[in-house]
Amino acid sequence: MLGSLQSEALLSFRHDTERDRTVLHRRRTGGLCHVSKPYWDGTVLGAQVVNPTAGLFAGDELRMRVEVGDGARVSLTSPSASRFHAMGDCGGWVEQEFDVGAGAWLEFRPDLVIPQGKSRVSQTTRLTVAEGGEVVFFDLLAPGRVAHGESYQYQRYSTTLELELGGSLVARERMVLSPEDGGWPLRVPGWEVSYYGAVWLVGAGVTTGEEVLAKLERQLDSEGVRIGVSALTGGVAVVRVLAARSVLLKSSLARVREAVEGMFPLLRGGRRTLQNL
Amino acid sequence: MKGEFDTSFGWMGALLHFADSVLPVGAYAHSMGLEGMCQEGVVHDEESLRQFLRRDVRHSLVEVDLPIMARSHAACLDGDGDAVRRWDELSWAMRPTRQLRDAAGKVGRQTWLLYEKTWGSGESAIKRGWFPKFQAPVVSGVVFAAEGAPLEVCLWAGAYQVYSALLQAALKVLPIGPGATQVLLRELLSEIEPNFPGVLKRRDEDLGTFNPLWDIGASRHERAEARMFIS
Repeated sequence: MLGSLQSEALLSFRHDTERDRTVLHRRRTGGLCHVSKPYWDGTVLGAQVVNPTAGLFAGDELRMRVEVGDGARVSLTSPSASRFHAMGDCGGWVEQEFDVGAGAWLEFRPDLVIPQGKSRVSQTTRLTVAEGGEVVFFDLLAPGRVAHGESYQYQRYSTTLELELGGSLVARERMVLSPEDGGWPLRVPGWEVSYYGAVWLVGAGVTTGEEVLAKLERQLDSEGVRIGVSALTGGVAVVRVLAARSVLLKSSLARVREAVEGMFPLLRGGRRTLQNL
Repeated sequence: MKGEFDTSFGWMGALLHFADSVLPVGAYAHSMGLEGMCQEGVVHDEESLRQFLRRDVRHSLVEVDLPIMARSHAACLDGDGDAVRRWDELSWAMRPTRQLRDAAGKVGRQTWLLYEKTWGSGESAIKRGWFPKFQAPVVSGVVFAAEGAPLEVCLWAGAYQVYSALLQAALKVLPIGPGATQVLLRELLSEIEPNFPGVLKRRDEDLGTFNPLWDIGASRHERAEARMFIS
C-alpha cells in the first residue's frame, strides 16, 4: 500500500566472554523500529525499542526478531505505547519473535498496545526459550483511547502468543477482538472499561516461587483489579491482570515485577535501564 | 417393518456409552472453571449461566475443543499416531491454567482406560503412547473414530459432553433446577450446530482462545479457601 512501511528488525545479543558482558553484536533496524544505544549496568544490557512513526497505519508491517544468545542478559523496554491507528480494509501486521538461549536472560517490558478506533491489526508473538533460559515477558493491552471516549472501537485486533520451552510448546493463546462483541472477552461486569496485562515467567525460580505468586494474588486483588496466577508447567507461570484503569494496571504490574525479583534477581539489574535512570 | 436391519450404526453403542454424562471418568469432580466464575461473581444465576455457556463456552468449543477433536478423529482414521500426539500436545498448550490442563488430562486418561477395558479391549492399532497429555477432546476424537462414528456425530458428542458436564456442575453451585438445565442444554445444542462447518474449516494457525476473566477465575480457584470442584 502506498505510503505504508514494511520493516524487518533484528536485534541479536550475545555474551562476550572476553569482556564478560552482553553486547548487541548485530542490529538491523529502521522504519517502524529503532533501538536506543544499549547500556550495560554491570549485570544486564538495557535498551529501548522505539517506534518512531507514532504507531502503525494501514498496510504497515513490522517483523521484529530478538535473539539473546547463550549466557547473554538483556532488558528491553519501550518508552511509549504502541498505537494502532485508523485503517481501511488494509490492516497492519506485527510479528515478534524472541529467541532466548541457554543460561540467557530476557526481560521484555513494553508499554501498552492501544488499538484505536477503526484499527485493524494482526499481531503474533513467538517466544522460544532454551532449557536453562530465563524470561520475564510483559504484555499490556488497552481498550482504546479511553481519555478520548474511544473504547472497543477497533475494526479487529487479533493477537496470538506462543511460548516454547526446551523445544516443546507450553502455551498458545489467541484472541480476536471485534466491536460486535462489545469488548468481550476483556469486559468485567460493573467496569466501564478493562485494561489487560500479562506477565509470563519462565525459569527455574518459578517452581520454587509458587507461594510468592499465591501471596501476590491475594495482595493485589482489589476493587478495580482482578488478578490470577497459574503455574502452567515446570518453570513456567503466567500472571494475568484485568484493571479498571490504566494506572491500576501499571501499578499492579510494577508490584508483580517487584514481587518476583526473588525468583529473578536480574530484574534488579534491569531496573537501571535508560527508562528508569 | 420390512427388509434387513441396517447394521451400519454399530458405532452407536460406543457413542452412547462414551458420550454419557454419567460415564465414570471423573468429570463430575470438575467444573472446568465454572466454579471460579461463580466465585468471581460473574456467573450467579440462570441468566448469567446462559450467557457464559452461549458465549464463552461456545467460543472455547468452536476455537479449541471441536477443531482438536475433528483433527484427532481424522488422524486416527489415517492411523497417524504422530499427528494424534501433536494435537494432544497442542490441546494441552492451549489450556490457559494448570488446573484446566490437569482436568482435561485426568478426564481424558480415565476415558482411555475405560475404553481399553471395554470397546477397545481387543487388538487395536491405537496405542496409549499416542496421548502424551491425554487431553479429553483428543481421546474422545480417537475413540469415536476407532469405533466408526462419523465426524459430524463426533462433533455433536463433543459439544454434548462439554455442555452436559458444565450443566451438571451448575446444579451444585447455582440456584438452578434440573428442568432449567435441560432447557438450556436444548438451546445450547441447537445453537452450536451452525458452527460445525466453520469448525471443520478452521486453519491450524487460527486455533486457540483467550478469555482473561475465565482464566483469572480458574487461576484463583486453584487456591480458593473453599471449593466444591477440583477445577
